[in-house]
Amino acid sequence: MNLQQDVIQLDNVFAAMADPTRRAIIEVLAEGDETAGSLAARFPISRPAVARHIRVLRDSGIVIVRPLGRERVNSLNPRVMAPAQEWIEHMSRFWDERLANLKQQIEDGA
Amino acid sequence: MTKIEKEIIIDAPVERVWEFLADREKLASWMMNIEGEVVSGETFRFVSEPRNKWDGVIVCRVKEMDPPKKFVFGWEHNVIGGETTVSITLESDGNSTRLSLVHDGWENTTGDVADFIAEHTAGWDDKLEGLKGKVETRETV
Repeated sequence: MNLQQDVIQLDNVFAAMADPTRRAIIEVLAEGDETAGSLAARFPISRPAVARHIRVLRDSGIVIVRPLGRERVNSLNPRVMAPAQEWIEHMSRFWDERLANLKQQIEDGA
Repeated sequence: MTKIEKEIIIDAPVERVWEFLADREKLASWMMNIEGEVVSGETFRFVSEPRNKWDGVIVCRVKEMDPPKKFVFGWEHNVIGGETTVSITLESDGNSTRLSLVHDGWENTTGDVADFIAEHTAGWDDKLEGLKGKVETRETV
């Protein structure tokens, strides 16, 4: 694993997340691949505006696009997303442990 | 995957659970040692052992305290490089309390979190062993 490469990719991911629409697109794609059209349908902004956000995500390597029949589907690039996802999961486990501890402290101490 | 959302049910009334958010010693008992006051408009710090590039301190700016319902604070340290936000909401559920936690604002991350993870995980395993021992001997807070 190239640590320098991971740092650069993580910067890309967190920078992409600075925009709420791009955060939302990432959340949607985390659940499954989608075409640009089906992504655009989810947002109140114009289709070209959504397309611009998807392009930013593709240019930074976060989203990859592949042909599927007559369409093109977008998916999250696991190689780029993995370090950011690992960080979020790490913090998620941290809170699981803390909250379990809180519950135990209150319920056992009562 | 851009934010963390948790929900637990605690078998205690909401006022009792709130004590474990607002009272400094009780908050420290399930989190980490605290320096500073846990008061609206103030900043307190969770203090732990430095690990790898982390200096061991988490800076928490209290953004909202609405007893016994809502507690919102910033979460920032030298590895994250920016301020994220933890929001804890309490809701009565009969004689129990539903606690919801959201940790977001990760887009403010400017630091190098990647190689922090492996070191940090090892640290928390040690800490949990210590906490487990404390809880099981029924040390009172």
